[in-house]
Amino acid sequence: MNVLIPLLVMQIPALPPATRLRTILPNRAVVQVERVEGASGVVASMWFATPQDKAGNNRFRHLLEHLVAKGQKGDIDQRVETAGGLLTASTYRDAMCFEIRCPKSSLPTALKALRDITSTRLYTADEIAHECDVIAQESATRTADDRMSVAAWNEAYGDGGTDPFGVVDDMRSCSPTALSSLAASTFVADHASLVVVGDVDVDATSKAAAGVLVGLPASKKASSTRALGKPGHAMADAPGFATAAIVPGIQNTPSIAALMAGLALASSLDDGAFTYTPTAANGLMIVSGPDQTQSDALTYAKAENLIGIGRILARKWIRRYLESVDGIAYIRGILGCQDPGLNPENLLELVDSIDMAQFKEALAKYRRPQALEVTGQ
Amino acid sequence: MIALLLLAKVQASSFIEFAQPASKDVTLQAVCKLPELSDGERAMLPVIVRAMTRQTSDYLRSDMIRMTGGYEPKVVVMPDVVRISITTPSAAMGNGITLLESLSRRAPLFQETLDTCLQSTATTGWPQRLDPPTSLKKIKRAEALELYRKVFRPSRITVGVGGGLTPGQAAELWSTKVADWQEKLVKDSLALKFLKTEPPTEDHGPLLLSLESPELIANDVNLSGKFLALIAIGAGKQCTLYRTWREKHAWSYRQEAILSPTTNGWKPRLVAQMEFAGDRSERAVAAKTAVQQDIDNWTENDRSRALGMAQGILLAGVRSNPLYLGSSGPLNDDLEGRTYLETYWRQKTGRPWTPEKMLAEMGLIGLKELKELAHDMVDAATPRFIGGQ
Repeated sequence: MNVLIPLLVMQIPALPPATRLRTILPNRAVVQVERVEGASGVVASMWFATPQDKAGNNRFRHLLEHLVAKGQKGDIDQRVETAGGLLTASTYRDAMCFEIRCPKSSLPTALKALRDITSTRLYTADEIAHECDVIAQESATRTADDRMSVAAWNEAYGDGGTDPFGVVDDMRSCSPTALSSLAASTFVADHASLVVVGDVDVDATSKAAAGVLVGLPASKKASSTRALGKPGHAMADAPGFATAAIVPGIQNTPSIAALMAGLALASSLDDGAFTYTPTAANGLMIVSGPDQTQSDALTYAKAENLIGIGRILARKWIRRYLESVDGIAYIRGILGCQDPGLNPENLLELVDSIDMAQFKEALAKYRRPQALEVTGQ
Repeated sequence: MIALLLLAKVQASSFIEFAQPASKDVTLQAVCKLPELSDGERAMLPVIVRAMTRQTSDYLRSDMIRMTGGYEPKVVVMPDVVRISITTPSAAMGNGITLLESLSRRAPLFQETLDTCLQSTATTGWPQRLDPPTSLKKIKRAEALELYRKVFRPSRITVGVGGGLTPGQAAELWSTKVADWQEKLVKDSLALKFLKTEPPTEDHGPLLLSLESPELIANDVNLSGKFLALIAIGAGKQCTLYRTWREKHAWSYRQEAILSPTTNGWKPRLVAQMEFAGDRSERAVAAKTAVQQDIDNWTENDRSRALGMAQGILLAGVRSNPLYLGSSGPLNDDLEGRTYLETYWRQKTGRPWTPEKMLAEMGLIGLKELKELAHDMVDAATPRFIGGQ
């Protein structure tokens, strides 16, 4: 008997190492780690959903992002870059992101830097003024596509679709205490998600990553939401045209059908483009083109000709997020901070389930009277 | 990890394989070295490549999307090469080879398509704005076909295939496809050579300042050191440009050191978008002086940071990379980007891409030498403003 037991134990096959682990911390922050074998670097991506804006401070979010990304002592970049990494920060409508890409050996440095970002301080009026000057330079980098998108959002969603870039002159009026209040409402556990992707040990990395978010306070307040937008027409200071479908969060079947339809329509245009930031909130999917004379082609394009291409393109669009290090960090982060229960894998299943009737309904969202249309000038 | 499996001469075009067994996709990256081209030919080529992807004699664009499982083939003109990029799921690699052959040999370039593509809005990223092509009022189909056949010839094309591939399979398929592709003698066309061009479209985009240094040739013995110096000057957020132009003076939001491809190598440039109303020549002098003074004050911390950034760029996919080999900036660290880089580098320099070796060479550059290399490039730089009102 004693001989048999070791033999039996030896025959039990070892489980393959886990490739993905999601941990919900006691303060409700979410840590997600995904192993991608052979990845050349590691991405650590920290996300915060946009808070509710009772104080009216959300218009300063972009300014906040600029300032906190430097760290309390202003030395984060030196530390991270000496270790071979790069910190980037972005402000979206529904979330804010701080991301470091680095060699695997530098992940501890990256995680420490991300933890430092959440420890904010009171910024001086001079610091705010200087950063507003930099953001004024940044505003000159905005493209025609940006202006087209802003026009569409303003018309469809009004205040609920406020441009996350912000208005520089408005930012100059931001006081240090307003910024501090915004930081306190933004960097909370309930709406925080940290995603680490690379050729990493999932268990050990999850434990290390938990240390970044475990100290965040809980808020128990919901993140920002907005009612579904309204169709209409807008003008934009940009060449070309756009037509936008007003859609619920990406996890919904009508949104996936609209994704298929939008991608198919964009591919039917010469130099067409499809723009959509994945979100759990109500949003816009925008098809645009440089030549206004092509806008009629969108009206008359037939569903039967587009559904096949739409399905192929939508699968590829989603796969790109699920199969690249940067894509995984992005899709899990931006959705995870808004709703930890959202599973991007389900989106592929939804694509396969869309039938012709649903596709036709989706196509109609890009046409009058359901669409938000933008004319360039 | 990319393993070099096969280097072969297939039908006078080179073929290189890079296996990544874990990948579900296969990518074909064809690098077509440009011959000497006149201004008119350079103006015509971007229109031709736009027309190529609309249709070939065999496939419409919608067919191409179906064959590749959603990856639209891309053809891009760079100053030194044309890049053709086709990606498919591994099981559909044969479709990729078929499309590559069709694109490089049988683009019909119908007049209507050329006319439409001539009107297409050009992209306005930094690379295009820094090196704007001259333009043409009209393109004749016969001339376009002549140029197409002059550029896309077997001896000019190096094909790299990377991803989840079966060793040797892609090379064999390509060899079969191009077995009958003979390189015919092409006489220089006088019509193409003396094609009347228009000046580049006036640029009213946001103002750019570019400090431009003499070209680095592809086989420069000090390439690694100069690359490190450019990283120290203009890559990342603790580089010289960020510290001085952005943080100290708030002159810019975006500022970078870049290496723009040229026929024989790359041109170092320090570029920033700067909105201001003052005297441009004064700003150019002040900008250059700020960089020179910062270089003088570099310490071992700056050298260490530059080496760290180099490691991140070369080995970990950090995108703050001076090497602007993509149509809008650095290459992405994905299957397409890595395969293209390996293929391009071999075609350009005659040597494989060896980032570990480059990093080791950089590690031997001391602080004094780093400053000298930086000063050599910056002191010789001349300013140029692009765009603005």
